[in-house]
Amino acid sequence: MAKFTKKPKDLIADIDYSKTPSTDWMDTPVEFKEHTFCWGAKGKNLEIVGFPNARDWSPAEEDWKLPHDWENTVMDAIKDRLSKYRSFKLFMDICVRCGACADKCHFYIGSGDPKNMPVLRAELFRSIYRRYFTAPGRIFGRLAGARELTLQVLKEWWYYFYQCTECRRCSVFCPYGIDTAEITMMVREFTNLLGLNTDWISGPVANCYIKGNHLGLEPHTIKSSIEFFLDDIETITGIRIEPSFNRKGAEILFVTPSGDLFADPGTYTCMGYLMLFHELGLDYTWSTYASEGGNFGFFTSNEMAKRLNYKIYAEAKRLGVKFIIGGECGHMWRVIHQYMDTWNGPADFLEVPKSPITGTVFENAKTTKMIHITEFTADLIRNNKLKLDPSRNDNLIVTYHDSCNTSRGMGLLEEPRYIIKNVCNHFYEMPEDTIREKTFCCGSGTGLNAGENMELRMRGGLPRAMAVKYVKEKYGVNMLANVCAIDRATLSTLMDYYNPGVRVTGVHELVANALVMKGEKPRETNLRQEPLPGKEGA
Amino acid sequence: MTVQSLLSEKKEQIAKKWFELVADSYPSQTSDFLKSKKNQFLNPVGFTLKEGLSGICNELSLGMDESILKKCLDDIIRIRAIQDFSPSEAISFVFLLKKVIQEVLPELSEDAKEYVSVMVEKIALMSFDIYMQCREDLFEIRVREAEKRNFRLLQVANQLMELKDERVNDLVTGVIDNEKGKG
Ligand code: SF4
Ligand code: SF4
Repeated sequence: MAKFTKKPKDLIADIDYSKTPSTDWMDTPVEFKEHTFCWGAKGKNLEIVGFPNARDWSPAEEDWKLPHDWENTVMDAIKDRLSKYRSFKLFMDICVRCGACADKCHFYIGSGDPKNMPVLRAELFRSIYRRYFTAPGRIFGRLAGARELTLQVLKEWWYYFYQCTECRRCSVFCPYGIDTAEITMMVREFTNLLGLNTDWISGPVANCYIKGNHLGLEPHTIKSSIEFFLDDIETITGIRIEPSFNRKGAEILFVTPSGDLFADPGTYTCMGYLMLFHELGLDYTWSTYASEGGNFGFFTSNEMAKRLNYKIYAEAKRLGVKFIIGGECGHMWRVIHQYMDTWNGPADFLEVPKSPITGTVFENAKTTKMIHITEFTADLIRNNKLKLDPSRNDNLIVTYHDSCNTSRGMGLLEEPRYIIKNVCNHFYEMPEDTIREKTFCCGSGTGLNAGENMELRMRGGLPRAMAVKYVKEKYGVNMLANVCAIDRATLSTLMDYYNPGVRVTGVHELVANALVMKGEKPRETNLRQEPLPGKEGA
Repeated sequence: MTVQSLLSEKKEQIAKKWFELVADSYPSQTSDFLKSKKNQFLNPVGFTLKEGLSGICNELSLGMDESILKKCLDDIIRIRAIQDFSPSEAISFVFLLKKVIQEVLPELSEDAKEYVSVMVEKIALMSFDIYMQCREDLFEIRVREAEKRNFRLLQVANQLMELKDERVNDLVTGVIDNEKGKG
């Protein structure tokens, strides 16, 4: 009857309310808890793109089916990247552990897990770098912050470097400009060399490689989807639009993330593009081959990202267009702005983008030859080329989420805001510390937008959700605008959890609602086929 | 003095102590961060805990308004339900209230203690329901997201089914199965 021998006081003392691990971080082993990580890749998807160690695997299982000499593979890769990328070597050496970045990561803020502090996240790798690539680390080991590479360490890397969305918020606050996102990219490359990919990333990569888009849709499926939009647009405006596909000799190639074609609410943004281009009479074409603006290869390795990106220029060349416009996407723009030109450029068969409507030359895209649609549209509005009726959006109280990639990755801060303010009458910013360069991530970027890791996503999205909650309570905000396909999907989910009643939209959905088109019938509904303000009883 | 007025007099002290104990349920670095960073947007967890807990303390001496209690608890539990806590850990903070009141008001009469006990039990029961609701929401948003993700694809599939294009149909359902039943 031992269980009845304790006094109530002792029983109370037994209850431990604290989560504090009693061990140092190096001695606190990683635990794989359900709903916090993505499922492992399927062998067939890795095989398709020739990734190493192709086999089915599961992160939750003890045996990761690693190649027998995996340690050597990792060491060789580290050596190689250190010699190739000066920034990587620098980031390893110059961190003074000042802690300025420590509380800047949305995953840390939302989870409270110290290993999500950017400085500690980097230490997970840096400790290995020290042990094998620096003299003090080799000699003094743990005293110098170094440790051996073991299977435990590899698992810890995998767990935490797939809890970083490469958002770069931490780098904004680092006095040395250390970019933990780049360290994450490197470590993900190393895991990639061992076949430790996630299903959510490797599936789209394989599909994109064979079919040109993440879902692996074939040309007729893409076309049918757009035809549904055209039917809806006709119902709403009375105008039948006839876009062209794979048309040689068009002036402009338009590429958007395939999420816009299938996932609500991105679909309405896509209808917005179609309506805008039709109204302008733009000489442009869709491509069913370069049918993906997104690039999940970017979340595996530099080489894979390059391979997937290649199709955009190849298609532009094949069709003989003059330049490229890209749809509303986040990481697509980081890739295009920062990498495309060096990977697959120079695209000297293209011309510097020049708006055929306003004559504006986009000098900023001089080398890439590709502009973001919000640059294009902001310029149209500035030059008075669009007839707009913002009162059609009067039922919406809008705020704007800067996607990490467009804001920190390419400095696209004003254009989306300028457009929104011209097509909506009610716009309110979220608090200053949570927008523009200091924006908080949606919590689901870099291929973390799967379903099985929902708990993790809700942790990562928490700071963003709390800022939205504030403007919701203060100004009655009911619409969260953004220019990213992943945001459109994942912020909807984030809002459903934290701020029900706040919906999510792309900027061009708002544009198309306000756009007064030539020959349109009196509009009764918005693109979602809900009554326009004032037409509720109709 | 009634127990309500005693609680009302000490409510700030109770809330502060309670918050500190709850913050200590996180790893030590995090607990420091939750307690020290003041900006509500840069420390949303600390802020929400603080606001919610003092909201509850306020209600202890007032009428225990259910809707206010529910909001305060929901704000806190919605966060703890997705953090690295087991269900019992996630709502353990409620029981700390008893401990805090005992410390701040050691002189309470037996009757008053009984009152506090009943209130804590009431809050605990509400917390179970809210915790379950949050977990249900978590699963529901996952299903909803998968549906939205494939909405147009389903439309296309339906149309193509009419055209009896088996191959595309297979492809489409394959994608959906993939997303819904991965693993
Ligand atoms: S802010 Fe920079 S130097 Fe300071 S700890 Fe973080 S990465 Fe290191
Ligand atoms: S890049 Fe973003 S997600 Fe990664 S550690 Fe820095 S703040 Fe966190």
